[in-house]
Amino acid sequence: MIRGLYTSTSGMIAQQKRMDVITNNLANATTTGFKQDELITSSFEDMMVSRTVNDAAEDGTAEIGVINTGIHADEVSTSFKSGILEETGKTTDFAVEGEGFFVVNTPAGERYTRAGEWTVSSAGNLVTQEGYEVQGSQGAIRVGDTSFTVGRDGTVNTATGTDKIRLVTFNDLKGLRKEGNSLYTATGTATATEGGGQIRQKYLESSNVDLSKQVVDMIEVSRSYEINQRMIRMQDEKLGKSVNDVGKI
Amino acid sequence: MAQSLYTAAIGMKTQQSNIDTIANNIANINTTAFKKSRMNSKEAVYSPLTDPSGDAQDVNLQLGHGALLSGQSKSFEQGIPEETKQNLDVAIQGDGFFAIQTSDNTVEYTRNGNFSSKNVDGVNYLTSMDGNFVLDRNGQKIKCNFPIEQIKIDSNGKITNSKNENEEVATIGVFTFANTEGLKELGNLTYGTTPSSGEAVALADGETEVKQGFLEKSNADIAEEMTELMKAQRAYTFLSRAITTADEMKSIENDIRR
Repeated sequence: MIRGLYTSTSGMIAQQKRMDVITNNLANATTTGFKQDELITSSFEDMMVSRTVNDAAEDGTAEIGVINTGIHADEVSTSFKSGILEETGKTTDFAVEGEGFFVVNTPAGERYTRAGEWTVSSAGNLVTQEGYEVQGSQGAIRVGDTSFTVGRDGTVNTATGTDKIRLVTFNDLKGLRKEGNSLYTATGTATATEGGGQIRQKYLESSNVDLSKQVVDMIEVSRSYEINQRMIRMQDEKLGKSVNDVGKI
Repeated sequence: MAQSLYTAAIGMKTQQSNIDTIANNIANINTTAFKKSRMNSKEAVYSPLTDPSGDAQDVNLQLGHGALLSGQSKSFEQGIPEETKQNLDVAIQGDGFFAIQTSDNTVEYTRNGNFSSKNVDGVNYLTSMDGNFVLDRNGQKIKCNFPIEQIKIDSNGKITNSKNENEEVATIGVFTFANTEGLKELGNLTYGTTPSSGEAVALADGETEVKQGFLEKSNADIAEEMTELMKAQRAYTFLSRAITTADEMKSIENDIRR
């Protein structure tokens, strides 16, 4: 009986976390290059349930099956489906068509991104909005001014020379972690390989959030939250009955 | 739990700035030489979600905290030149800015070629609509000794007397910058240089095309702005819905025990 209380509570906690993830997706519905997350829940490990028997011939217990005691947040799965490419007409806007990530150099090391909303720094380099240098085949990409062109293969043609915007793909996208500022970092088994899809200048990749799915999920979360609450209340009432009313004449 | 309330609130704030920017673009849909802006947003920080099973966190289990503004970008895309047949209206075809000198002697740059004239001590000067002097290629004020109605401006910006082709006055300066997007907005459709934009460089003959009798229209497009507005508004609505839901969930919590 008391076990049931905790099971229902674990359900409520897991739904709260799902709600947090859904809200973050909604907040990023218009963020360039954003990839939507989904919280995967899984049940706690099954437990054997036994009953006590009076039969002296047995060892005192008999297994009658399994139960599990609720669910927990297991993993956040990111959908790396491409967002729609939108034309912006700005020379410093880029999108990846197909697979691959842009490489930027942050103080903490190389990071990866799908958001190509860049600008030209005072030093004449192509940088992100935060000022991190976008990486080309020879490090920072020097463009000088905004009158440069970039081909689909990433070749940058400027007045002073050519460079190539780096794209990398990963063997294991599950190893990528979001770290804010629309950047990803590679962990564990994820290793970067040079190459990827095509680069489109004057385009941005819009967020891939599926708004209607988020809203439906939100309704589902809110309802299962309510059901779990009802279960807690019911078990509380049953407990109250057995504590206060059993044996009352 | 309160997390989703804050995440949604931050998201709404970001969308609000987005809508403000779009509203400004729409308000200036008929403003000469107006350049549209766009708000850029980025993901906010991510923090780990705790996993009660106590497994080592080798799987992705982290929660984002909304979207933040990352900056505003301005599109210096050319607006369509519109014929006005006024001899003091000029539009720049392609890159470049006119330079004007304000009353406190600072130089500002603008694409607005809706010029006027001012008589100072018996001499006509070419000025902007607010009475600031338009500068020539060498950064000098443009003096005109003949009636202003006779001004003729060729495609290089050279001002001559339409009654006397040989009477040359000056050449209207058209300047470019290494990084146009680095210019800072000074209001009134004028821009100032910053370290990021670089210094103004005067364009020589043939590098620019100035059209007399034309004005550059705003580069904001109503259809595009409306689409952006609908997108922002939709996101805003869904976020407010998220706040309602998170609030309902709070009240469900409070109702656990009656």
